Amino acid sequence: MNPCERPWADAMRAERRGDAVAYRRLLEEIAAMLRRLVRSRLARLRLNADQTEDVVQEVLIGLHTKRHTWDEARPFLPWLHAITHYKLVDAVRQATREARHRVDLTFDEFAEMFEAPAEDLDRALLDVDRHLAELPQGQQVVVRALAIEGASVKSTADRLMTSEGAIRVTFHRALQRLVALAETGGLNTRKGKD
Amino acid sequence: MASIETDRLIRDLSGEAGARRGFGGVESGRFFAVTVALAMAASIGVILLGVGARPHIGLLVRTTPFLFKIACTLSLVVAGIILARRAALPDRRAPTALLLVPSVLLLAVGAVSDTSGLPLTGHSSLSVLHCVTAILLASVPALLLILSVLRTGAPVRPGLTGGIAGLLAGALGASAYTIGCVNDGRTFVALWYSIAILIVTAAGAAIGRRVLAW
Repeated sequence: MNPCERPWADAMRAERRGDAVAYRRLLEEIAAMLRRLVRSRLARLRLNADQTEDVVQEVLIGLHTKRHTWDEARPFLPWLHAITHYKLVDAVRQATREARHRVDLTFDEFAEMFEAPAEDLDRALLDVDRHLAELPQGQQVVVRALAIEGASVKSTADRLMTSEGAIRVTFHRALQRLVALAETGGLNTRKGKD
Repeated sequence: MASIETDRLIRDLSGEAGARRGFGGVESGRFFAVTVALAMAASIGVILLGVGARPHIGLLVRTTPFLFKIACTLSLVVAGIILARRAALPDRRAPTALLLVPSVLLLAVGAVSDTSGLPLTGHSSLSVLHCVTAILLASVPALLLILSVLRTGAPVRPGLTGGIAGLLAGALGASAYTIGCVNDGRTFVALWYSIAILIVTAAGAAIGRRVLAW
């Protein structure tokens, strides 16, 4: 049996007799458990770190307002689990709804994306091509494969019949060279190729 | 790293230790039984006032058509009671549609074996409207009563719980309507009683989603 079952069920019974001290200790212990639970799965719950305490409080309030629905003849932890699960699902639903609001893309914002037309992108690509041409042949091949075609290091290594380490070194040198070229050439190559 | 606010909340909540409502809620089986009895009485009241008892109802209660109607509707009431408490209390077994099998079987077998030749739409052109409307009206007070008691529980699926409340209220309304119902065809009962009960079920689910969430 779970070591918490007995003491927590006893504390719930004590609450019914009006024992505020035992109830307070119970709530503190449950809060600590919930904090660990929620924090350990924030990402999976789609919550931000600062929402942990909100969720903990929601569950505590739910437990408190519905505590009369626990039957003393039954184990306490399954009841607590049901309450916690319900409140967690609720919190996630709210967070998702809020996230949807934050991400809301209006049509105007969407339309703005077309106003500065594709020209910029084309020129950036041309720049990349021009700078690439100044690289040694071997580096060109590797950069095209990894950064433009999106191939994996392993498949590129296999194709060029060399080691993955060699590909990584070549790619790194090529990037350094490209950065240098971009700086001296005064043209913007796009960042983020590394 | 407990936050100050959570500490304060815990202090406030623990100050309410032992402060429970004076009367019970759905967690008490006896309390819920009384609720259902009251709901039943309300449904019967609506039927007696709105429709009136069918002539010679005292003699008819032992005839097959009446027994069929009352068996179908009361078996649904029983299933609804069990389901409602399961749905409203968080640590009980999940509600299962298996509990509805006896009622559904009874209705289906009754309809298929109906050789009375009585029309599917009842004695008069208004029979269907009359039947469905009467069951709906008789279910309204029952639904309100049952939903308000289920709110004292902690339903983890408010929509489903509301639907079950609707099913129970619809079954109560339909069983009350048997007192006034003059259509004895089993196909009539199987079809129109079921439709009326389903409407109340859907209404209960829609209302439950809102009022049973906590």
